[in-house]
Amino acid sequence: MTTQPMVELDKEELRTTLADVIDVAPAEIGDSTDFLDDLGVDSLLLLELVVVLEKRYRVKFSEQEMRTARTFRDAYALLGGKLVVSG
Amino acid sequence: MKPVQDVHELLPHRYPVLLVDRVLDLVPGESVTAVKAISRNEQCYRKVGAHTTATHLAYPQSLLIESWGQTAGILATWRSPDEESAAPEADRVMLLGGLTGITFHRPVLPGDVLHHRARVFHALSDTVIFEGETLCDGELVMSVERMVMAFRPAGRLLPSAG
Repeated sequence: MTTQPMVELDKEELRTTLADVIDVAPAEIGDSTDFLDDLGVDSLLLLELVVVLEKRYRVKFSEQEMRTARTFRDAYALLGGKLVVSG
Repeated sequence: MKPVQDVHELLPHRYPVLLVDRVLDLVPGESVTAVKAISRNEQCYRKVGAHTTATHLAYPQSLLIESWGQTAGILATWRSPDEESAAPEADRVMLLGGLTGITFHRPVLPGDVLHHRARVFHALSDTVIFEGETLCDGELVMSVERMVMAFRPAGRLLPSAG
C-alpha cells in the first residue's frame, strides 16, 4: 500500500508563495538558494515564512523544524513530508 | 471575560507613548479588543496651528501601528490573576519584528475612537505573530495581515548598569 499525499504539492506554487512573503521574484528562489545567506531573510521573516506555509497547507511544524528550513529544497521536503503524513 | 486592569499594569509603555486607553475584551492566547481615543491634545498635534487642513490633523500612521501593536502586546503578555505573577515579563523586551500587508483605509482624525482588534496568528516561545484590524464607528480604518512581535532578554538589549 502506498501513501498518497492528500494535497498535491505544487513546486512552483510553493516557490511563488515563498517569493511573495520574502518580497522577491520567484525566479530568484532556486532550489538551493539559502533564504538567510542569499536573500537576506532574517530569523523573524523565516518564522513568518513557515507560519504562512502552515496556514496555507494546513500543517503544523515544530519550532525546531521552523528554524531549520533554510532553503527552498528544505522547505519543499519538509512540507512534502508533512502532507504525506497528514494524508 | 472583561479584564478590569488598567493598561498601566498591562504594558511597560508610559506617557506620551502609552497608546491604548482601555481593554474591552480579552481571550487569553486568542484575541483582544482595546480602545484608543484620538484627542486634539495628542502630543503629535502640539505644533499644528489653528489655520490648518484636515490632512495635517490625520493621526500619524506610525502611531496608529504602534497603538495597534501595543494592543497585541497586551494579549501576548497577559496573565490571569491566578497564574504566576507577570514578573518574568519584566526581563523580556517586546519588539516589533516585522509587518506585512498593512492597509490604511481612511485617515484617523481627532475625535475618533478606535477599536483595535488583534488575534494570535501563531505563537512560539519567543515570537508571536498577530493579525487583525482597527475600526472606528464600525468602519475599517486599518487592516493588519501580519505583525511579528519578538521577545528578547532585556540583558541582551539594554546597556548594562555602570
